[in-house]
Parts: sequence; structure tokens; C-alpha cells
Amino acid sequence: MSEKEKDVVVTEKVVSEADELPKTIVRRVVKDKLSQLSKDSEVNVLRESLQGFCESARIFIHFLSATASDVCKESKRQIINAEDVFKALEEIEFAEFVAPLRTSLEEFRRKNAKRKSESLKAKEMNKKGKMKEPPVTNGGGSEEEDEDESSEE
Amino acid sequence: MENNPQQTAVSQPAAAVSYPSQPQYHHLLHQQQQQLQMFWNCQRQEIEQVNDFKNHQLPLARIKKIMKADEDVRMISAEAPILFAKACEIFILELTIRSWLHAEENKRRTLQKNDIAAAITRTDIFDFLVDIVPRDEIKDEAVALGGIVGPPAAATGVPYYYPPMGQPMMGRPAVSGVDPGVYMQAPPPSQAWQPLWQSGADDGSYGSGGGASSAQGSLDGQG
Repeated sequence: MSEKEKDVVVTEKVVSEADELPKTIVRRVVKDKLSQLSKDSEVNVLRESLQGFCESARIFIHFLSATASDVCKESKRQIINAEDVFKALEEIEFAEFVAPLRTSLEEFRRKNAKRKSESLKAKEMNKKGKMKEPPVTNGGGSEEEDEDESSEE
Repeated sequence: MENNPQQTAVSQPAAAVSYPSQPQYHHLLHQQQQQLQMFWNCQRQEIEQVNDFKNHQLPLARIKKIMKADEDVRMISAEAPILFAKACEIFILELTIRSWLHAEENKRRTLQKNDIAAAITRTDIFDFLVDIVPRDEIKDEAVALGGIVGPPAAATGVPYYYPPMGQPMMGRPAVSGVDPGVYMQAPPPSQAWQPLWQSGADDGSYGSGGGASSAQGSLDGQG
């Protein structure tokens, strides 16, 4: 019997926890949705089912990022940007995701812009405070990096 | 002998049972429409809710790490992980809805792995996930799909998700305003489409265990 067991293909992934999406958050997403779908009675999620969700989501990320990477390369650019991701979504037939994602992106950009302008204002106030003193060599004017364009290795 | 669809008697050509009898057929159709209604209601809910940016923020650093596991993925703009986090969340929602539908069909209050398997099998655009699921689960689902053509429906009592015509429904996510009545579509050209992503990594980081990832083929010569 143990011989047969050795032949069984093990479908358990050899992925460390740190490389997966956090189970608690995935679980929350799933459970919240289930409670919407089944208002009168609770739907349970087995641990191995949760694992299935985590795995699926992780592979989705791989799939989407590989596609986005290809899209980016085709445009002869180095940095994967938002438009690459949108185009990739369409390529892998998840075009329905594009609209809500654009909305989210606008939201994020608005918040980001607001945060930046507030931070700039705070710096201006600081500057005014310091004007009374002799100017420091640094000049105090270091510009905040434009996060939208920042790239990472 | 002409097969008159207006016949009320339960008479089918002896050898080839293509469809269940008329009353059974209508019952199945009705059940199916109910399911569709449920399904589209869920989808509309989901569409409305995805605009809530605050919910369930998946950690960006972790997402970036997962993306970077692919060597081809080098530089990512700061906005990309945010899009990925949201896309991931929507994806999980889609998978949840479809898995739940399968559990409901089987009158269960617990999501099992075979529910996820069913969701993956039924939805063409989830084909890239087919390696995750044990072969048995897929086989069972395929039998269920083909079952409507074979044994009488009364034998299993399980409502079939697919129309009796034998044409699989494309599990397209909802676009708001789509009338459930026009849900049935012809198979899209996507049938011919091949996934670009290859599970070529040997470290087992994202291939399924053993040799199951061979279904994805060898690494494509991407430029």
C-alpha cells in the first residue's frame, strides 16, 4: 500500500507562507462574500478550500504580471505601468475587471495627490518658520519624489 | 419517424436519448433560470461593491514579492501593485461566487475543494488554474456536464448548470444591465487562446506538485 502512496502525485504546494497571500485577509474576503450570498445561514470554508483560494489568487497574480510584462516589453518600455496592466487584463479575458480597477486607480491618485499637496503645505509652513534664521546650506527645498513614476528593481 | 417537439407523451427514439422528456426539460430549464437569476444578482452586488477602495487591502509588499518571483517581471510602477491587489480581490470574489453556486447546487453549507474545482472547470477564463485542482475533481465535473445527455435526469436529481443543448456556458462575469435571459452565448474565440504564463519554475514555487504542470507546456520563447 505504501508503494502506491509513493506514486500518488502530491498536489500540495511547496510554497512558504511568506510567498503566499495572507490567509486571514483572503478568508475575510471569501467569508464576507459568502455571508452576502447566503444571508440566512452561514457557509463554512474548509481549510483546504481556503488554501485553494489563496493558491488560485497567487497564480492569478503570476499570470497577470507575466502578461503585463509582455505587454510592457512590446511597447519597448522597462517599467510595467497601469495601462500595461489594463491591457493585460483584456488579453487574458478579464476585461470586466478593467472598469472597477480604473475607478480604484482614480481614487488612489486623488488620495495620493491630496496627501502630497498637504505634505507640501506642511513643508511650506516649516520653511516660513525657518526664514527668520540664516539660510541653511541644504536650502530645505528637497522635492518630494514623484511616486507615480518611481520605479523599482 | 418525425420527432415532433409538441408531443406530450414521453416518447423518445429508442436508442438515442438526446434530451429528457418535455416536462423534465422544462423543469430543468426553470431551475436553471432560477440559478442564473441568483448568479446575476450576486454579480450585480459584486460590481457595486468593488468600487469600495478601502476593503480588504491585500498587502502590497507581498503582492510585489509574488510578482517578482517571475524573473521576467523586472520593474514595476508604484501603481501596479495597487491594481494587482484590487484585481486579486475581485478575482477571489468571482471564484467565491462560482464555488458557492456549486455548493448550493449540492445543498451544502460548506465550501469544499470540489466546489472550487467546479468553478474552475466551468469558467473558461479560469483555465489557467486547471493545474491546481486534482484530476479527479475535474473528471467528476466533466461527468456531471456530460451526464445530461446520458442517464435520465431523475437518477441523479442534481440540477445541471449547463443548458441541455450540451453547449457549455461561458462564465462571463457580469456587466451590469445584462439581461439574464440572454446569458447564453456562443463559444467565444477564446477556445483557441493559449495561456501566456508558463509554470516553468523548477523550485515548485508556482507549479503544481509532481508533473502536473506539464499541461502548460514548455517555456515559450518570449522576446
